[in-house]
Amino acid sequence: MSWLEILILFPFITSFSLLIISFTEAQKKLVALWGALVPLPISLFAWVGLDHANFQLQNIICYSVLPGTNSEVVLGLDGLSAPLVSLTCFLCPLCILAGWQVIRVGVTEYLVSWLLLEGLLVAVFTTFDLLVFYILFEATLIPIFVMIGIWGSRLRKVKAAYQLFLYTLFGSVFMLLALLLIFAQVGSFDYGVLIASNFSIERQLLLFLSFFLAFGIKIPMVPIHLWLPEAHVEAPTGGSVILAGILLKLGGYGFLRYTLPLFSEAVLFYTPLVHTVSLLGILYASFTTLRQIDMKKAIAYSSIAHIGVVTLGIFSGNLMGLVGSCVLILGHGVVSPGLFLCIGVLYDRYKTRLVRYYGGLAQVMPLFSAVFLFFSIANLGLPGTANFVGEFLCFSGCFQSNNSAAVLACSGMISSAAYSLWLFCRISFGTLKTVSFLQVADLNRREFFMFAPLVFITLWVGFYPKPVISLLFVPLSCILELGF
Amino acid sequence: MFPFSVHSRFSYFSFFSNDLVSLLPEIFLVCCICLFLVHGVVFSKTGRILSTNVANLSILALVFVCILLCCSPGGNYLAAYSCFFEDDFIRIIKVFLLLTCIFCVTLSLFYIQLEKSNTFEYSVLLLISLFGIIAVLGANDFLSLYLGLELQALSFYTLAANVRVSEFATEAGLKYFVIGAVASGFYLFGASLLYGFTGCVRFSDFSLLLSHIAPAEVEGIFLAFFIFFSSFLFKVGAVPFHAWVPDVYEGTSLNVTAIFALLPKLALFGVITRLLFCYFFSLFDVWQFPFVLCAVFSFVWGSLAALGQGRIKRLLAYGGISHSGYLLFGVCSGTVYGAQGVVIYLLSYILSGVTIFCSLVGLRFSRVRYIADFAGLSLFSPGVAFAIAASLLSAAGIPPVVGFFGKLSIFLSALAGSLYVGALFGVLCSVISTFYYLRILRTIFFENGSRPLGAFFSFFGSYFSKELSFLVGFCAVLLFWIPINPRILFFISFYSSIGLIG
Amino acid sequence: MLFQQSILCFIAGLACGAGFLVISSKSPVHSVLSLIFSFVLCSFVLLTLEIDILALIFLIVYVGAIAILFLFVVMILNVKVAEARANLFQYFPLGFFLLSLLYFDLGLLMPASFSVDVAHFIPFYLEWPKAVLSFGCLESIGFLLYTYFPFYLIGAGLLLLLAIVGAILLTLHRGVGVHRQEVSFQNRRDWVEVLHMVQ
Repeated sequence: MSWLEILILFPFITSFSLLIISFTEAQKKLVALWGALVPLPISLFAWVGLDHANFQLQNIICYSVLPGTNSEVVLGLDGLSAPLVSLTCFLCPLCILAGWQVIRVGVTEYLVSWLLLEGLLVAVFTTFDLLVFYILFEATLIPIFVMIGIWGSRLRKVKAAYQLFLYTLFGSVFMLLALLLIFAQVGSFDYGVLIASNFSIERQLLLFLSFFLAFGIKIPMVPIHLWLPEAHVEAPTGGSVILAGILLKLGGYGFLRYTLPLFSEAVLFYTPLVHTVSLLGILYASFTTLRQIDMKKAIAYSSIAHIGVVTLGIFSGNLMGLVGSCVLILGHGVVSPGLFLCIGVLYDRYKTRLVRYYGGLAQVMPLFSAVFLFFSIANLGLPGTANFVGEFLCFSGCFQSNNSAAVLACSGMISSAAYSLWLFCRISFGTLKTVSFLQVADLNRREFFMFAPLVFITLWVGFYPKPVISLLFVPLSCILELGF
Repeated sequence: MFPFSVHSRFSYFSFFSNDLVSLLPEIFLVCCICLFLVHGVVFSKTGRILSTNVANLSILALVFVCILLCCSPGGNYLAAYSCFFEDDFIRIIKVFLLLTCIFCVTLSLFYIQLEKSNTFEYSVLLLISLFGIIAVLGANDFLSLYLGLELQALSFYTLAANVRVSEFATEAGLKYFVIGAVASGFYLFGASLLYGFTGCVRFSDFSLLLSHIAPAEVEGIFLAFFIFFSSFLFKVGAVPFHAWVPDVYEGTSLNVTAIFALLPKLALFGVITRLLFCYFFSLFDVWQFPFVLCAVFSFVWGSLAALGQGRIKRLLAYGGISHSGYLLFGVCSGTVYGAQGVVIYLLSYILSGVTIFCSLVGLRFSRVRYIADFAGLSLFSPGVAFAIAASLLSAAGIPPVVGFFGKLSIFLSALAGSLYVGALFGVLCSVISTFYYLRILRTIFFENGSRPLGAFFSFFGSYFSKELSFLVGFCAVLLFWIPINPRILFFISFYSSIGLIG
Repeated sequence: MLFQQSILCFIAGLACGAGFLVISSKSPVHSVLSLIFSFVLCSFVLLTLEIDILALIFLIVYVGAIAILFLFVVMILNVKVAEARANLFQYFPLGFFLLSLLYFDLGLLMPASFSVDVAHFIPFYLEWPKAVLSFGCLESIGFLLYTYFPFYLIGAGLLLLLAIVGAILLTLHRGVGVHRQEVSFQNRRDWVEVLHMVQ
C-alpha cells in the first residue's frame, strides 16, 4: 500500500468503522477527528517529498479497469495537486471541530459525511483520469448536499441545497458530453494521452465552452453564481468552510489542470470573454457585498470577487498570473474559512447572522475581535498576508496581458477593503447591542485552536511565500508550456 | 418417400438430443410450472394456504434454472428446428432475468404474507410469464416470438387484475389487456405484412435477404417494419405509446408493479437490440431517425411529466418511460457501444428498481402512497432511507452510483453514433429528472411532515422481513460497490455485446 | 375468373353488412347473432379463395367457441337494450375518416400487384408419384406441427393452460380465515379428552 492509497482510503475506512462499531458520541467525534487529521501529515510529507524539479506525475498508482485493455485509472500527485490535497486534509478536521458542540442530531451521519467528503476531495485532486475526475467532482456534491439539507440552519436550506446540486449538475452534464466527445475522438480518458492529443479548433471551442460552464458554475463566475450565497448562508459553519476553502477551488483546479493544457487555442480565443466575466464578477460582487445584511452572504460575495481575481490570473497567459492564481487559491482557501469560522463562532453564541444585531463585540470578546480583524484585513489583501501575495501576482500577471482589465480589477478591489472593514467595524465597534449581553464568552480553547493554524499559515505565506511559490513553479510552467 | 426431403440436414436423433441439451433450462422450467400447479391443486383441497409454499418452491426452481443456464454448453446455436436461438448476449440477459425474477418472487413473498392472500397461482403465473419472456428473448421467428409475448402478456393481465376487491387493479388489468391486445394486433399485422412482402419467417433469413437486396427494392417493407416494431414500443412504453404506463403502475399492487417495471424491460430491450442489430441492421438508415425521435420524446416527456406527480408510483412510471427512452436511444446509436450501453443501463436499472421496490414493499404497512408520506423516514429508518436514496440517485444517474455508468455509456454510444442533438437533450433531461428524484430525497431527509411515519415505526417496529432486508441491503451496497470496481460490469457488458455482434 | 370474383365480392359485401349489423342492432343478442353470421360469411370467403383449412379453423374457433360463448354470456347477463346507442352515430364521421385514411395509406404503400394470380399455382402436368405419396392437407399440417414445430404446440398448450389458470385466479375466491369442516379430523377426536365438566 503506497502513501497515496493510505491518504485516500484512511477517511473512508474511518467513516466505515464509525458506522459499524458502536462508539459513544464523544468517542465518535474523537475517532472522526483523528481519522480526518491523520492524512494531513501524510499529505504534507508527500508534498514536500515530491521531486520538484520534475513536472511529471509522481507516486503513481495505476488501476486497470478492464483486464487486457489499456484502460487504466491513474492516481498520482504533482506540484499542482499536492498543495490542494494538503489544504483539504487541513480544513476537514477544522470543519469537524467547528461542528463539535453545535451538531446534536445525527452526529454519526455528520461525521461520516465529513470523512467521505475528505476522501472524495483527496481523490479528486489526485486522479489523473478525466472520467474519474468527473465522477468524483460530482460525488462531492452528495455529502455537501446532505450537509446543507440536514444540518443547515433555516427552512430555506432545502432550496439552497437544491440550487447547489442542480446548478452544479447542470454545468457538469455539459462537461460530461464534452468528455464523451473527447473519448469518442481519443479513445482514452487518461490525462497523459489527452495532453498528447490534438483537437481541431472548432471542436476545441465547443469543448472549452462545456468545460467552462462546469468549472465556471463551480468556481462561480458571475452570471451563474446565484447558488453560492444561498448555499453559504444556509450551510452549517463547517459546510461554508469547506465550500469556500475547497469546493470552489475545484473549478480553478479544473481550469488549470484540464482547460488550459487541453484546449490551448480555445483558451486564447476565449480569454477576452473570461476576462470580461471575471471583471464583471469582481465589480458586481464587490458592490453587492456592500449592501448585504447577512454576514455570511457578505463573505460569500466577497469570495466571488476574489475568485474573479483567480480566474483573471489563470487566464492571464503568463507564469506570474498562474503562480498568483495558485497562491491566491491557497490563500483564499485559508482566509475565507477563517472568516466563516468567525461567523460560526458568533452564530453558535447568538443564533443570528444579521449584522444589525451586533455591535461593540470588541468590548466583550477581545480575542475574537482580534482574530476577526486579522482575517478581514487578510481578506482585503493587506501586505503581509497570503492573499496579498496572490493578488499582487495575479494583477501583475494580468497587467502584462490585458492592462485595462488589471486596472479595472484593482480599482474594484478597493471596495473589497471597504466592505471588509465596514463589516468588521459594525460588529466589533460601537455600542454594545442588547443581544450581546446574553452571553459574553470569548473564544474557548477549541475555537482558539481552530483559528491559530489558519492565522499562522496566512502570515507565513504572506511574509515568506518562497517555499510555496517555488514548489508551484515547475508544474505551472509546464502547464504554460503545454497551453500557450 | 419423404415429402420434405429437401431438408436433408434433418435427422431425428441429432434434432432431439441437441434440443434437450440446449433447451434444458426452459424444459426444466415448464416441468416445474406444471408440477407446482398440480401440487397446488392437490394440496389446496385440504384447506392449506399454499401461497408461501409455492413461492418458496418457485424460488428454488428459479435457482436451479439459473444453475442449468450457467452450465449450458455455450456458444451460438439454434434449437428446436431453429425456432430458438441462443448466444452469449441472450444467455447473460437470461441470467439477469432469472435473478430479477428471484428478487421479484422474494418481494412478492413478503407482500403475500403481509396481505394474507391465498393464491398460490400467483407464483405459477409469474413462472409462466418468465418462461414467456425467456422465449421472447431467444425467439428466432415471428411465431415463437409471438407465443412468448402472449404468454408473458396474458399472465401479466391476470397478475394486474389479481387484487379482485380493488377497482384500481381491475381498471389497470383491463387497460393493460386492451393495450396489450392492440400491441399484439400491431405485431401480427406487421409480421404478416413482413411475411407477405418478403416470404421470410425466420429472423436470420431477414438479415440474409436484406444483405443481398437493397431494402428499397422490397416493396412495402418499411411500412411493415414500423408496424411490427410499434408493438414493441407499445410494450416498453416509449412515447407515442406510453399512455397506459402510469395508470397500470398506479392501479396494480406493489409487487406486481415491480414485476411490470423490471422483467419485461429487460427482455424486450434484449430482443429489440438483437432484432435491430442482428437482423434489421440493413434498414439502419430507415429506422434510426424515427426511433431517435421516439427515444428523445420519451425521455423529454418522462422527465417533464414526472415533475408534476405527487404519487410515488406514477412518478416511478414516468421515470420508467424516460428510462425506456434512454435505452432506446442507446439502441439507436447503432454502435457496439450502444449494445454495451444498453446492457449496462439495464443492469443499473434493475439494481435500482429492485432496491426501490423492495423498500416500498417493506414500507407497505405504513401506506406510503404520496411522496409527502416519506417525510421523516431518515429519522426512523435510516437504512431504508439510505437504500432509497441510493436507488434514486442511481436512477437519476448521479456519478458515484451505478446508474451513472448506464447514462455514461448510453451517451457515449450516442456521441460515437453522431447523435449530438439527442445527446444534448438527454443530458438536459437527466438534469430535470434529477430534480424530481431529489424532491423525494428532500422529503426523506429534510422534512418531518405532518403525517409522521414515526408513529408507525415506533408502534410497529420495522416491518421488513429478513429476506427483504437482505435484498435491499445487498442491492444498495451493489449500487455503490460496482462503481468502485466497475470491472465486472464492463466485462459482462463487453462480453455480451461481443456475443451479440459476433 | 370474373364469376369467382363476383361471388367473392358478393359474400364479402354480405360480411360487411353483417359487421355493420353487429354495431347497429339494438339488442345484444342480435348483435352476436350477426357476428356469427359475419364469421360464417368470412369462412365462405376463405373457401372461395381455396384456403380450406383456414376456413374450417375460422368456423371451429370463432363460430364454434368464441361467438357461442359470447352468445351464452350475453343471454345470461340479460342486458337491457342500451340507451347509449342513441349517440352511436356521432362517432361515425371520425371513424369513417380514420378508415378512409387507413385505406388511403394502405393503397399508397401496398404494392399494386398484391392480388395473387391463382393460375400461377396450378401445375401444368401432374406428378403421379408425388400425388400418391403426398400427404393431405391435415396430414401435412400434423406432420409440420408435431415434427418441426412441437415447441409451438407446447407453447400454445401452455397458453391455454395459462388462460384457464388465470380465469380461475380471477374468479375463484379462497379466503384465508375460512373455517372448513374436516370430517376425518372431527371423527378422530377423542371426546373424553376434549369434553370437560365445568363447575
